[in-house]
Amino acid sequence: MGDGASVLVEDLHKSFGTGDGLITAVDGISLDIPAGHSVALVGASGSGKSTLLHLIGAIERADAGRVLVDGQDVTALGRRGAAEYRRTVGFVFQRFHLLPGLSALDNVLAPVLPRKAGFDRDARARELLAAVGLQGRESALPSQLSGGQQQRVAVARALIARPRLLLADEPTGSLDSATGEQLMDLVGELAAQSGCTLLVATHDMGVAERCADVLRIRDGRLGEVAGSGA
Amino acid sequence: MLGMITGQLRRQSVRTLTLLVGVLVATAGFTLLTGSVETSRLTVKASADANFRAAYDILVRPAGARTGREESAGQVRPNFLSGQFGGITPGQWREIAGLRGVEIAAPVAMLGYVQAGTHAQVDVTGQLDPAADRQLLRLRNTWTTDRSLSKARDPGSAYVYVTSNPVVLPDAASTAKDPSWKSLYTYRGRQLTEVGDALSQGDSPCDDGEMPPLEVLPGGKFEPLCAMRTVSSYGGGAVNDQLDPAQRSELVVVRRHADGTFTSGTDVHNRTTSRRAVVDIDWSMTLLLAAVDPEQEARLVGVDAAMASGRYLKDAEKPAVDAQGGSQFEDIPLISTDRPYLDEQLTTSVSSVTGTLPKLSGRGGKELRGLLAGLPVSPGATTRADADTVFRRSVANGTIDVNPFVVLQAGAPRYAAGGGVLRPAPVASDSGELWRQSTYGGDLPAWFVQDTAFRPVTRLPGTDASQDHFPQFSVVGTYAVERLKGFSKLSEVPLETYRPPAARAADEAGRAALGGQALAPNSNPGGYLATPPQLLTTLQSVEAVTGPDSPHAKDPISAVRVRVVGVHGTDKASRERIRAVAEAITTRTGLDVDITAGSSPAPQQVALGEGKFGRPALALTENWTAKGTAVALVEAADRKSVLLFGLVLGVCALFLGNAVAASVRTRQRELAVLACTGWTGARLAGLVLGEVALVAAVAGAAGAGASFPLGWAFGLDVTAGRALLAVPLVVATALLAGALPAIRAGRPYPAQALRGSVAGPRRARRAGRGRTLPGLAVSGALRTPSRSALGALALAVGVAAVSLLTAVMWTFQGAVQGTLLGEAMSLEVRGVDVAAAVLTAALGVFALADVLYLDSCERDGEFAMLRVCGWADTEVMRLVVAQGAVIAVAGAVPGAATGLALTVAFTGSIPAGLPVAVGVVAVAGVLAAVAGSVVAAGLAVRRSPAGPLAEEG
Repeated sequence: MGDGASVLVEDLHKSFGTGDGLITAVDGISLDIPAGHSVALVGASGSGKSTLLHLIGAIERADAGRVLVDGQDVTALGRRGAAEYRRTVGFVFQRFHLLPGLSALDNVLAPVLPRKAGFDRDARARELLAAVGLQGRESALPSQLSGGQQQRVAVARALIARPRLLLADEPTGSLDSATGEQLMDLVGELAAQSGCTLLVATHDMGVAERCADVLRIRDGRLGEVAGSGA
Repeated sequence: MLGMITGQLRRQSVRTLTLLVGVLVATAGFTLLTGSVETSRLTVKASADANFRAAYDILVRPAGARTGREESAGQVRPNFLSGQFGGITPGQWREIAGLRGVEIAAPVAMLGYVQAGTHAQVDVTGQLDPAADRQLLRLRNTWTTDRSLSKARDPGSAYVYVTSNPVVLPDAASTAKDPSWKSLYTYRGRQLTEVGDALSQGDSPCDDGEMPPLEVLPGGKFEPLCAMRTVSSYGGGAVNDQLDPAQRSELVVVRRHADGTFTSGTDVHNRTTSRRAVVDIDWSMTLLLAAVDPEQEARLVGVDAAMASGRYLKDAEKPAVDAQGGSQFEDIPLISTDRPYLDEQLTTSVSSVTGTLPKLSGRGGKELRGLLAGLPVSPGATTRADADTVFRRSVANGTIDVNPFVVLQAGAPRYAAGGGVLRPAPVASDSGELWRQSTYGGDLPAWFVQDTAFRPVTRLPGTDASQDHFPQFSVVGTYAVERLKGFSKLSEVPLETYRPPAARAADEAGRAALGGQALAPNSNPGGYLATPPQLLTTLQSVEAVTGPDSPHAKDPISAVRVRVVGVHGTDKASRERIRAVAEAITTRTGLDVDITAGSSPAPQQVALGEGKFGRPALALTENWTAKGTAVALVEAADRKSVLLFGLVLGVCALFLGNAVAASVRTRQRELAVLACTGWTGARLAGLVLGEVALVAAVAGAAGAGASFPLGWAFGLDVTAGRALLAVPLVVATALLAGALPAIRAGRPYPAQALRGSVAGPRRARRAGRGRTLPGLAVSGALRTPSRSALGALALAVGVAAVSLLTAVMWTFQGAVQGTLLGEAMSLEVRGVDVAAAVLTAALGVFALADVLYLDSCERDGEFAMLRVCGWADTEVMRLVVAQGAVIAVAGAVPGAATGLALTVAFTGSIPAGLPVAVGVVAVAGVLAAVAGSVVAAGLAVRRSPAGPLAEEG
């Protein structure tokens, strides 16, 4: 792919039921992200930023509103369509979510395992691992890697399928600040190299400032848009 | 604590429900399976007890009476005692009868085959022309046996001469007063002295000594109507070969009266007049004669109460002796069966001689044979009669004539064995010589005595009439075999004395040939099938039958059938009582003693060679008798029960342990958190075990309750005691199974558990394994080796259990097969055994499905991640199913191997075909487990991936 995807969010709503009633996580958010742009979603814990990422990534179904990625309404996709769409999206999570039984290399390959890819999967995985600084650790199991290293494997995994959209949900949340900064530099660099659109949900302004735009979210609503130095 | 436990159980409803179902299934499974085992055992025991006792418990025979086959295979041919003559003295019998513990000692002395003369009646009235003064009918007889496979057309013919001329019958009794025959004939009150005198002086065309009827010709001339055969019926002294075809023809004279009635007969004292012209056809039947003690026999089988006509034999009844002129006439009392148990039929075709009928009177027998054979005939009617009907009528009207002068004894057949089939060898038999009679006349022997013999026939010496010894039989009553004390068909023993043998066709061709009926005995004493005795007399009459020179004059008894006091079934006390009496008889008498209680017919294939009269060679199945079957069956059932009970206990305990351990494992992180907050190990264990105990108690009680309707539905014996016992057993097993994970939960350093619900492997594995779906599945299974092992173990135990169960049932079938009782039992318990096998297998599969489900719950996050990465739901499901298959194969293969190993350990061998059956079970187990994992996989993808990821986060 190589090119970033444009993301258009229109009046998006999402609530979750609890034993005590409904909690509104996303409350009428609309936004427009040009292709290849990098955007940070900043907010406190529970503000709805992760939910917004999940909705854009089609791993959560919206209650109302639309998410158009390159003009495709991802909220209207069925299970199969959503799975196909997610193959064009890279995800990085706070908890890494590596498969503990697989080596670093196999973890990176996991997204493209079930089907043929239009490139040499193994070579690309090794290239990505090298890019994230884990050359020589291909055979290491997640349990043999530090948190920062695991997250780098997760970043490599997110990029293996050449996504047009990279979604990072608190990618540095489990890392110390120095490691987190290094990782964000890496993510920004790799995203820029591949030209993909980057959305980062974080409560860390230091992380957010590495993006071109910063959007604040509070109680599921979008606040002011702040420019960044990136 | 209790509040926390119940709260946890409520909040973790899925986990609680899973455990609840697991415990419930284990409890119900245990109760039902043990119920099935007990039901199966009790069914076998009840059947064995119900069929344990036949007519007698012990059979005593002369020393050396056991055949080689009996010694080697423990099997006895049906009615084998019919070929056992003498060997036990009356003294030995009395000694047996006097032994402590003997309730009945019934002796039987086989005496041999005798010939009984009966008559079939053929009504020829319909073939007569009322306008004809004289008419001649020809009767041709065809004898059939072996279900009509053997046919013998009698070479002779009976000619019925019906005349309107008066017929003068002789008065044979008059010769006692006037040997000159001058008083032999009386016509219209006038003695025909000249006619009688002339005939006695040799002026007769008839055979020497023959007393023919006289036809009164128009004009008043008296001319004899000679017999066509040269049988000397009145002591002429000629030796006749009864089977000479030339001797098989006869002339029957019937007088037609003006009033339309007919008179027939051979003597003035033996004539009948009726409106029907009925001709008697001689029909000889060969019957087996035995002597019994009337009192003991009555107690043994109740013959006295089974009398259908006449009277029973009196105790110690001796022949009535009538001395006349230096000769001693001994009237031997007999009772006969009310049917002969002979498969014989007679078909008579009646033809009318056409054209001008020549004069028949005044011609000799030989001349008549030639003359009549050349006369033209036109076919008429055909009549049929069977041995049963003829015999019954002859007995009922007292016309049966049992010949005491020829007594034949038939030994046992000799077999060639091969391929489980016995082939009786034909033996030479000179029937003409055996049936040859001198001094005294008699009926023609049955034509089928010339058929192929398979038993050597000998003639008892000394029974030919001596000058001063004239035995004669007198049938004093008949008994109906159906009215004898009933004994189970499944526990018949050789020589119930009264049961006819039946050999059924073993193949389709034979069944078609025999018309679906069994092959039955006939009048050939050397025939393969031996009848039971049809005639019984008393032991006191034996010498009168066999003569004083019989080889068994001193030891005429063939067997003694003993019933033991206080025998109720297969219980040890009853068995011991029988054993003690048997041992005492052996010690005291030295005779062959066999315990027959608990015997059962055992089907045996016999290849019978063809007969001389058209019967083809036949593959037959005979019910031989296997001794000691009931006890062997009960012991086999007991062994099976013990094995199955252990198996059931093991499977249920493992299943329960698996469910509990898997359930507790899912809580590792949660327990670790509690440990971090300061909960002590004991408190954590208490929490876990409290939950387990509560769930186990509730589910156990529910399972025990559910087992009642399920037991009723499956027809299993579920007792309240066993159901109640299951609850504490289940709780204890659950606590035991939950103890280790509970202790581990309270370990001092819980961080490992906190690092993730699923820990990484302990050492690095080869990179690249995860690049294929099977590789990923293997990695997934190996990543949690203990849990995977638990699932594999569950299936392994299930497969091993079913394999062993199959082997046990197979072995049981092997132990019981071959006898009717065993096969009946096997049929009775097969359903229960199959239900047990199905339940056991279901437990194994359910256990694996449980493990897979819990595993998929724990790996929710992983699967969610894969879906986030773009894996389709079907791809994730394939991964889960593949992992299930990996675990299933890992369990099924060693399970099958273990099953076979256990089979060898318990039964000493692997039954043929079992490896295939075990393979099928293993494959079925894998398929069932895969099916279960499909359900688990479906559950794995049922939720949006965001949820599990958030929970993990």
